[in-house]
Amino acid sequence: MNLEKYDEIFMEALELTKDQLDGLEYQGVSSWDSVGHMNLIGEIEDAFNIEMETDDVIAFSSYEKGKEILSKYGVEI
Amino acid sequence: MKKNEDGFLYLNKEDIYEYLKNRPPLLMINEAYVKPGEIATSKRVLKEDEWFFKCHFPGNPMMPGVLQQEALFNTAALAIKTIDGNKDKTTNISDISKVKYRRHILPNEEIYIKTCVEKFRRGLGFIKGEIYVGTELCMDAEFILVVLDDVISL
Repeated sequence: MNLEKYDEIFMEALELTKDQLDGLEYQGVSSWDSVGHMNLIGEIEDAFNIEMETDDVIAFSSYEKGKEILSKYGVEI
Repeated sequence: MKKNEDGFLYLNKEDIYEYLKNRPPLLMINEAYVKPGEIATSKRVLKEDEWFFKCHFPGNPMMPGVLQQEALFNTAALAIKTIDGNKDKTTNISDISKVKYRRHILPNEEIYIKTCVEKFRRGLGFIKGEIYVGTELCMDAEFILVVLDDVISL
């Protein structure tokens, strides 16, 4: 359930298809630039009702890394 | 800068100069009513001798669409920059979509510019903007206004 939601956010916020998510990294696609990143973080925070610390916003550098970071906030993907 | 009972701020030209770095001829507004973080509106009477009417177009003057967008950006920036702590931050536009031009804007008409902040988080303002002459909608658009200082570079 959370994975589905997580994927949906990536696809919508960064205008991607599901097959682009595996191995996706920051700046790996043109839509994941600094502005796209803040939009993505905001969407994730809204969807999972959390507020990430700045260090985690910076460390959120890939699709996979994001899953690890969310677990710190009690969100298991 | 005055504040009325509804929580709206009135900004005159001098106040606007304090908040915006734009200057004429690319400052399209002279006064504004602003509810910080929520809504900003402004009005402007377009005189016959406005610089852009001379060149757009000779013999058939109308306000250029790009300047209509600039008027929206100027107005929306006030809604974001009047939020506490944002006054001296730099704002840019990162995205504009759903732009529709519905009616020409002509000399001697007064435009009413309305911008609403749909969402503001992590330095991104999601804005809906409209320009009217009287009750007629002339153009509308959606755009993202970015507070650059709040966008973290990784």
